[in-house]
Amino acid sequence: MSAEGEQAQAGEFAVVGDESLESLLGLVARGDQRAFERVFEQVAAPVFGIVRRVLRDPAQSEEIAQEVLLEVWRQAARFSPERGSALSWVMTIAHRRAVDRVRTEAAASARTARAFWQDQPAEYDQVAEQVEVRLEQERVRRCLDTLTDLQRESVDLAYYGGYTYREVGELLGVALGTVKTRLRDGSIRMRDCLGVAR
Amino acid sequence: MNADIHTLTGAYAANALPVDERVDFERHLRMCEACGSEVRELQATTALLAVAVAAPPPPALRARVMAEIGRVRQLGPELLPGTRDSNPDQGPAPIRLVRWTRRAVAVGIAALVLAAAGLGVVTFQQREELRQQDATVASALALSDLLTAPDVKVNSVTSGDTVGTVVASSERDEAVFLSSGLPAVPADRTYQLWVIGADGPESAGLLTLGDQGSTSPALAADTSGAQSLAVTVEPAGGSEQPTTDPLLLVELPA
Repeated sequence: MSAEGEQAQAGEFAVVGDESLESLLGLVARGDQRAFERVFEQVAAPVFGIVRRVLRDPAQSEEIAQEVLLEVWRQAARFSPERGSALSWVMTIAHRRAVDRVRTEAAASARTARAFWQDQPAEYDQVAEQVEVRLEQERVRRCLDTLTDLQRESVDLAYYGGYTYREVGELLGVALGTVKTRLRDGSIRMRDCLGVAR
Repeated sequence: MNADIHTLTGAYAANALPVDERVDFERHLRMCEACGSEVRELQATTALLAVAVAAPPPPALRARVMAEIGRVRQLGPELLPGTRDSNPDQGPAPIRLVRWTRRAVAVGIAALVLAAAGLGVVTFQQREELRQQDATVASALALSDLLTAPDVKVNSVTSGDTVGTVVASSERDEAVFLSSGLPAVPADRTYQLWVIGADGPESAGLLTLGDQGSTSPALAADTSGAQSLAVTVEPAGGSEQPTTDPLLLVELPA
């Protein structure tokens, strides 16, 4: 998919301001710190949001968000638009990093100890003033509602919960093959509902 | 295209694959164009799931990140397609090293002063190199010996640019650890290998980092009852117990 198509389809967030995340990353790759600051403005909230959603613990989330943002700086030259949008690239780094942290034993116990930190509504309210974020949230929630229960639970536990599909299968009491296919057809249905370009 | 592995696109895009399956799938991904485009679309989809939970980070984060980038060297563009780095969504490499940048400069200056101090340093370095070569040869022998064990198994973990591999024989309770892509550490730090068992970590010695970022094969001679091998950064000379979080954690193959 082309970078342009992706931006047009994949949402307001990627094109806040007059410069796309893609072209800003090109400048960042050449060491432009001011361009990086604009990248930070665009991605810091979703990066911190998804990391905290997975990790729960605010202090740990801040630490990982910082590592992710520094990775974006460090690896900017490795971003290539043919392989997806800049937003996907950054969010993949962020989510992967959060998930990797969850899966180390030490972090897992810290997460269990702080599992009560789950007040998502406050999180929504905090960003409610950012119109584009709220629109995106509504769109995503509307689309999540079009999934079957099993698809939605699988996507939710895997992506927001940071669980492996094996853990998801265990939690939902369904066969591994079923989890794999639900994750896939649930994501495909989300893709189509959100209008992500093919 | 293998139909079964193809159904993993959703799990992969959600980062829901255990590490070993992630590695297998990424290998498959390099050869499967249809999987590649589906993965890209599903990653664009999961990116929107992330945007939907956006939350403003604490204000201090911005200042810290902006201060830190001045101390982080950026990677150059990749020139060879199809290398490990071309993986579309490689995770980040261990960033922990970042904090050492200032120390590395200090160490560099100290090294210059020492070099100026004369020949004593050079002979010490030569001795050290010989010692390391001996260790390398010994490890290589241990590796080739271990590889002949009838029950030898391999497990590999990728974290960003870094790959850690364990070759183990449960019959012999031995394992050899190999890695590539670990960043250089300052002169006053070293990589140390640990065998993680029920009683906690036990040192399996220091790792020697070669020019290409690969560590020499290191033998963990007693892995009975152990679950995994881990690599941490420690003060030069090593530690009794790990003092930092592991950069790599590789489970021993069952």
